[in-house]
Amino acid sequence: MTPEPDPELREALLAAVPSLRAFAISLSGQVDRADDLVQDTLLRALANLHRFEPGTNLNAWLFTILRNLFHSEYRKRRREVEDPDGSYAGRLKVQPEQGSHLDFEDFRSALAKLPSDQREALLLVGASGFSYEEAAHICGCAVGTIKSRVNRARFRLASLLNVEDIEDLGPDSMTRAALQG
Amino acid sequence: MDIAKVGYPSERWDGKGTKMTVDKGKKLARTILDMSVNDKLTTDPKLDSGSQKRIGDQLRAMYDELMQQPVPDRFKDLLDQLDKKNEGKEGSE
Repeated sequence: MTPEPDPELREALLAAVPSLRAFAISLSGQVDRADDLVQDTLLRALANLHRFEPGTNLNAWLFTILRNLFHSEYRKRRREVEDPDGSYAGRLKVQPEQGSHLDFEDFRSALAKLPSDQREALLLVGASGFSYEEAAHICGCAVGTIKSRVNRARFRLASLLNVEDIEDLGPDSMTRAALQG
Repeated sequence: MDIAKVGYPSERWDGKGTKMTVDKGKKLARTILDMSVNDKLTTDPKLDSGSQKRIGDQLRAMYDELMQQPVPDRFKDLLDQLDKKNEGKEGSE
């Protein structure tokens, strides 16, 4: 049985799309695949609305669906998401913020080098704004596991980005070092 | 050199010779301490707050850019279609 279409719910689903897309794009590294994932997530959510407990976090529920779809698809395809040759980063085409001093290209390729469980945990906690508890619920694992994955992800990113900084040490390396301090 | 007898690592390792003697108990205690510190580092590395902030800032900046992309029409169309479908026939999936 499909529940009555609720205009409020429709708005809530639509409002969740940007964050679902950002997560799906960052997770898969492909905009097309991410949009398919978001579409499948919405369809599945609508077909299972009776399972959603009103009053609980709709976004967390949607993220759980998207995450599970991503992993079942991943298992089906048996394709590596980790991306040592950098094609993940290359597929991600987002214009850098105007006048930004941040180098997203470096950051994206570092992010792509993380194991997918670490990338996922970091994206949920560090970017999507979920608590450790919510992220643990979304991923179906212990809170301690999420904390450890987030820590390892940050640590790995820092070392990857620092390595890259050292590689292109220029005259402004001192400035850079000072800025990082 | 009273402090050397206490056996602070810097005093022991930076000094030229090892004139001072460190009793075995302290040595053992330090070894255990070093091991537990190393163990902690390998299982759960911690970043200094500066690096952590820098990583966090970059991540959010990259993510915000994705969030600000316009929602593709296919999602609006999808939800519109479902509304219409549900108006037409009741209780179908």
